[in-house]
Amino acid sequence: METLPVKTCWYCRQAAGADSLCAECGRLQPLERDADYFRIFRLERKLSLDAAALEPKFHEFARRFHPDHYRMGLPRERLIALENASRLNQAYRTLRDPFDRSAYLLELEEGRGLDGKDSPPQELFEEILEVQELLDEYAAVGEAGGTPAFPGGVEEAGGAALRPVLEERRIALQKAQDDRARRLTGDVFAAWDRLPDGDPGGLARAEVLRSIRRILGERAYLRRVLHRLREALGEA
Amino acid sequence: MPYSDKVLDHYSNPRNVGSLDKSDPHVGTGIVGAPECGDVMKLQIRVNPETNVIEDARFKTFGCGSAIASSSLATEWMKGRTVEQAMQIRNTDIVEELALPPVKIHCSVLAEDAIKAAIEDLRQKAGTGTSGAESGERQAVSR
Repeated sequence: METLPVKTCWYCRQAAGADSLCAECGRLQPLERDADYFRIFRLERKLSLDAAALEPKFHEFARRFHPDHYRMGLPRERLIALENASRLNQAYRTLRDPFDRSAYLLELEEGRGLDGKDSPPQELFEEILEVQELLDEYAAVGEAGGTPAFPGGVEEAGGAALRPVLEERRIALQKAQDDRARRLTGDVFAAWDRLPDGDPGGLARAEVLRSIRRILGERAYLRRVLHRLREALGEA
Repeated sequence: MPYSDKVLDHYSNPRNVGSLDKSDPHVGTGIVGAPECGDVMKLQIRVNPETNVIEDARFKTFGCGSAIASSSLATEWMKGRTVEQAMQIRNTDIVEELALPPVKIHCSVLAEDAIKAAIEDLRQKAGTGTSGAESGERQAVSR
């Protein structure tokens, strides 16, 4: 747990303390201007985060910032409540999801999220383009099915043979997707959390961030192609 | 959001879909992707080694209508141009021609990246060695 620096209260000009309410006058204080999402929740910048433990903390803060409490307050206080609540929501939504949390860490640590400027996973690309071809074929068969040439519909036009092929691809790609998720939230999260503090340019650190970037990138491609496959197979 | 007529035209009637022989020394292949949306684009060109003119261009794209239209247009524009001329194609030209809305601009960026990657592959095969400077530049961008 980090302690926040002592701030001066915007209202009474006394030392406000580390809490969100001024220790002297009790007025609501704004969140630190450049506090990141981890800091808003007073957490260390670690990835293995217990989402179940995050929720009660979120509710506690959310109650404290709720604009309804400040209906009778000063206009400035109402504005602070609104801004705090909005940043808190954003922080909670980002941190509770392991993938959003990892992408956010990349932004914090390297100043950029996922943007395609990384060495692309060529093998995965080839595979995706193969699936695209199968999908095109399947769609063409779908259009041919039910026409005079193939009165028996998609099945007769060749769909019966293609469907299990697509099904097989879907299962294999889903497994690849699950494997990556497991690796990210397992080994990679643990490796990040084990890093010693105060070595921002360290090699080990760069290595872990590279792994996160690669897995998140691959996951984005896999998610898309899986969605298309499910759609085509009528499972979406 | 409705697609422009030109996007629809390329989407329903894509030009130059397909593959060229990757191992041909005069064929350059670029495969690029955008993790933000999951699109993947493969663009290939075959160049006449005498004239340096792109004689054939093919693409395969996994993505939305705008991504398909952008790559289709890119192949159309590259054919008949020299490699140096093709290198001048900018994503903004594609945006303008297809009237892409702001949310689809990344599709045109992907197409420009694919053109560059294909040309880069060709140059590496030819061993004319602009690769050092180019990849250095790309790393600088990514950092």
